[in-house]
Amino acid sequence: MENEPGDPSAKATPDALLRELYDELRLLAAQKMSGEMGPQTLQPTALVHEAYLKLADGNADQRWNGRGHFFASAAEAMRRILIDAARRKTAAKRGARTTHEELDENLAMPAPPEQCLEVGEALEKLREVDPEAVQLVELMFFAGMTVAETASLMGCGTATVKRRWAHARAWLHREIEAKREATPNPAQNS
Amino acid sequence: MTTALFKKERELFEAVLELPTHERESYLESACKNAPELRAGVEGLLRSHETAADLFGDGESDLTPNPLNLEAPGTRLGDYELAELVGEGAMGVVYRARQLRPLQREVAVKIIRPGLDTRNAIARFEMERQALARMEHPGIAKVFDAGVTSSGRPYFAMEFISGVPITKYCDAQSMTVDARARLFLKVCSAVQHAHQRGLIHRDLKPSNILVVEHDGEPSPVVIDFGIAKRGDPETGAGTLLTREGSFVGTPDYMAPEQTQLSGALIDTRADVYSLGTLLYELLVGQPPFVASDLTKQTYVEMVRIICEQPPPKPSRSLAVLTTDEREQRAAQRKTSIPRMIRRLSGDLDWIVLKAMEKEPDRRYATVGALADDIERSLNDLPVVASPPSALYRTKKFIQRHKMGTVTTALVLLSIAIGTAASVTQSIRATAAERAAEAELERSQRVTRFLLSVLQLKPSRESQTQMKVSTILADAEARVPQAFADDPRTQAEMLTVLAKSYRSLGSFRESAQAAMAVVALLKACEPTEVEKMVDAAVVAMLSLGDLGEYEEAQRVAEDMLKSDQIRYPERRLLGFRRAMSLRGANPEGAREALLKLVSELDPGREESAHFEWVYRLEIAGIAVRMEQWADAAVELEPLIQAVPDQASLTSDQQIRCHILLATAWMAMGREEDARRLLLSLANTLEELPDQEKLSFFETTVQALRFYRLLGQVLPAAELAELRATSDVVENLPDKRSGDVRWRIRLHQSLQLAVGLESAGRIPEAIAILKPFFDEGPESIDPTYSIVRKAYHQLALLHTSAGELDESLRMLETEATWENVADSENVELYIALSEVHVKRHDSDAAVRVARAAMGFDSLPEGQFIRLLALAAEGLAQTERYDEVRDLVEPELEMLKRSARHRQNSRGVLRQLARACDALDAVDQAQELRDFVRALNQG
Repeated sequence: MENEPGDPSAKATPDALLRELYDELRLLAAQKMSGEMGPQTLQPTALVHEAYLKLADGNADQRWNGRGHFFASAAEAMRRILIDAARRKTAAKRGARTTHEELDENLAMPAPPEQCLEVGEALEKLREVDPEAVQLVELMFFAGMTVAETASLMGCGTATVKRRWAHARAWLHREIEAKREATPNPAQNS
Repeated sequence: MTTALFKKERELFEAVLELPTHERESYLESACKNAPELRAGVEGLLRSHETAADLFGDGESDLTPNPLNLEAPGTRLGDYELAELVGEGAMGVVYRARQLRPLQREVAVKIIRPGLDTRNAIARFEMERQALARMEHPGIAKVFDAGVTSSGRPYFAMEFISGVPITKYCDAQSMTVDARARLFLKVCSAVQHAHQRGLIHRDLKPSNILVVEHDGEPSPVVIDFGIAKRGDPETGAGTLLTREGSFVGTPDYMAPEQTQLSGALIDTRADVYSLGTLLYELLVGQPPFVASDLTKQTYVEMVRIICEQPPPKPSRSLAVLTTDEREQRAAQRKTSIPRMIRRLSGDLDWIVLKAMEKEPDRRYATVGALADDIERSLNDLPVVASPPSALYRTKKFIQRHKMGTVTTALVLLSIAIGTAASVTQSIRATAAERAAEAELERSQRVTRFLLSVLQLKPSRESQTQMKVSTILADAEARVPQAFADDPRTQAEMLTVLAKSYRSLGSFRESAQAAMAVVALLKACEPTEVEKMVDAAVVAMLSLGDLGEYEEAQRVAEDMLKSDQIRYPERRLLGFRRAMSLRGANPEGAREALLKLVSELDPGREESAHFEWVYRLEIAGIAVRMEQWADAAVELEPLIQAVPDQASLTSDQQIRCHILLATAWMAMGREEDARRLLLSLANTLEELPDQEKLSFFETTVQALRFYRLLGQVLPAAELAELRATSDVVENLPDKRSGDVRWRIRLHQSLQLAVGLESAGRIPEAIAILKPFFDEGPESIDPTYSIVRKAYHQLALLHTSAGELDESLRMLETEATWENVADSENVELYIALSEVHVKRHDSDAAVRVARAAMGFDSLPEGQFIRLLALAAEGLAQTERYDEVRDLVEPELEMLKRSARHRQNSRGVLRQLARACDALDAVDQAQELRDFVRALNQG
């Protein structure tokens, strides 16, 4: 379709792309849930890779600045999905029921939901001082990429990734510990 | 926490972690002498490090991030017992495994990635297995067996290669340059074997070529055909069997054509390219574009480097290294630096560069040919590859420019394939299986057809003459026959062609093809309204470009009659109709736009956006009609209320500012206009690089902007503006290859033109000069903006009377190669003008006459040259020659004098010559003629 000037569909903003990816990942998950294989545990890594193959097979890849950009965005979308799921799961324990429940049940969380939420909060703090580290955590922790994959996606060596990962991990952990000590009645119950 | 403290903490933490536990304490002690806060922070991190693994899993082991995902060691798959994970690709994971029956041996088992078991992925995985099973070569891992895991994921078992990447092996063994080249020949042999059996690897790189030793002899094995694709073993041409995204492969080793959409034309020569880069790295120790660091570039820039930047010769590539690194490279090759450079320069340089040519046709046709040339070099025979000649360089330049348009056409054509495929998918989801099959058949026919068109092999002689328009015309001629029984597909193909023609500027052909689509679709039941309107819009745009506005309106009105056309299409057609009214009937266009605004459905989210766009056009019409106050009334609220920033292109918002500034200027509100323009200048600074470049390249808006600026800004503020946008002070990087440098140049050129039109010549010179102050050898005339700006600067020097400088610059321009005729004519005109001003009449006449001999010279340029030649002759009082020169053109001059001042000038010149030659009557007649024109 020849766009007339300023047709809103002419240009997708990064935020719109992220939203699209978020929906795409959820949709894929839902499809797998209802697929021939029956309900199964859904691995974030697999979902992200499959979304890549799917989007890259169409014309959509034109809007991603290559593989690195795609995976970085997908990891961010995956983080949002997992944190949302964790939030619903902790809420569900307190009695609320949601339509997302079945999906949430079968999504493999990288850690117990309470901890995911804590990591999510600490991650926002980390973003203030080192946004690159946040990307690394999203890739490795939330999207489940390997050291080697993360290195190639971030354009650095595996040794650097390992060092940065060890540091980001320790930093987040220290942040979470500090928060737990400061909160008199922590939600954490594991 | 501050970023500075964060970084310090991280640095220290990482350093301490490298140390053995017992040394950490004392190291921290000494590193944090006066910084207790830092020390406490790092100690906290170290404590957290111990327990963090519980929360995050330990990322230490490279390949087991998420053990849930993968088969545990010891898992049995048929006759195989898995050991550890040894590799991971996009498609699958590879384990070392033990075969237990019928014989015991070590094997590699590749299993499709967990969760990737979609039909598409399985088909691709299966394709890799089948392809590998056909191979019989010591350089390619053998496939033994295939099966399916208990969870239904396919796997196959193959020969286990326990080797190291070829580059590492060569360095570890300190192999000489010649030994490396010999080892490389074995790689060629394996890849050639794959090609002969119809498999293109597409991702050849050091980590995919492992070296094992047999009886002490190194033997390379090519692995990971995961993104390989099936080719036709006869022709080597790839088919579109797999259509993964454009981003397969690793940038350093990726052929230019692999960066393009869908890899439509990838064949075995893409592997020739990758082998070239591999040879490059084996010889010198680094990949060709290491200096540009491809992984750090934006995608667009990376593609540009791969497609345009010539790689440095291997023998020269060591220049970027430190002395220590150079010595290490030489030592790894058991030689000295000078010897190594000498061995590389000549044959090996040319062989590598030939394999790495940007255009597949210029590369070795086969891997075998590449291998032959290397053998010749090793045996001191002359090689086929040779330094490019000047003629060849010229051809290459032409080809590069043609390639640009070819690529555009290919993109458009492959979009057509994409549409066909998506139609297939949606129908398959909703209708019966049979209909789906018919659709699939149709999309395959489309694909075959496009391939047949694109594989038109031009004859050797006319290779550089192959034009996109030829391909398109050929396709158009073949469409009706190829899809005689299928008008919808015909229409789809013609739509693509109409758009392609449009992008080439062939508006007549575009309009015709688009109108044919409309006619075809009208006859189809049920009508595909969206596609029909799409074609109608293309037709209208092209007709508009031809100036045939009435015809365009007829198209819209005809469509609007149908009651099948509903709201969004109705709105779009109405808008296009109004736009085509603009030229001949601005009042009518304005009314039509106002009506459209009133008809917008306020319930729809996008209505605010369209109202903004339509009102901008209404204001644009008012500016055209010089109804300044009306324009300002429309525009002021638009600047205030942008409906949704994201939905408007920056271009539209910029246009809104420029229109308002124009109106205000005309109304005498200069101060307001000035403030508005300055705020726009700041906004422009903040645009991303690519948008900035496209703004300055679409010169109409930019030119208006700087014309206005040149009119309103006093010198002091202009200087300030220049300082804030560091046009002069901080040229980002003085290489023409740097995009920011070119943006600055665009910007400065526009500003200089604006200043020139305000008569401020010295300021204009001051703006452009710094870009070229490093002498002619630093100027890269392959960029058109560089040529344009340089030429403009020369013209400015002429205007300022600095004729020596101007002449020097124009003579530099004359040495540039591969410049289009039209630009050369401009150069001759400028040169002749300088000669006239210097009273070097002979030179002025000689240059002007030479340029008048160019083929198909536009009238305007011809008249300017004629004026210069006549003036040169008159300077030396050669009036009879003036008359001989001008008289044959008298008729043309009289006709064009109605709208061309230059023609009147030449006629006056002729009158003066007639005076001198005592042809008084003729002189009087000419003067009367010109006077009448000047008065009328």
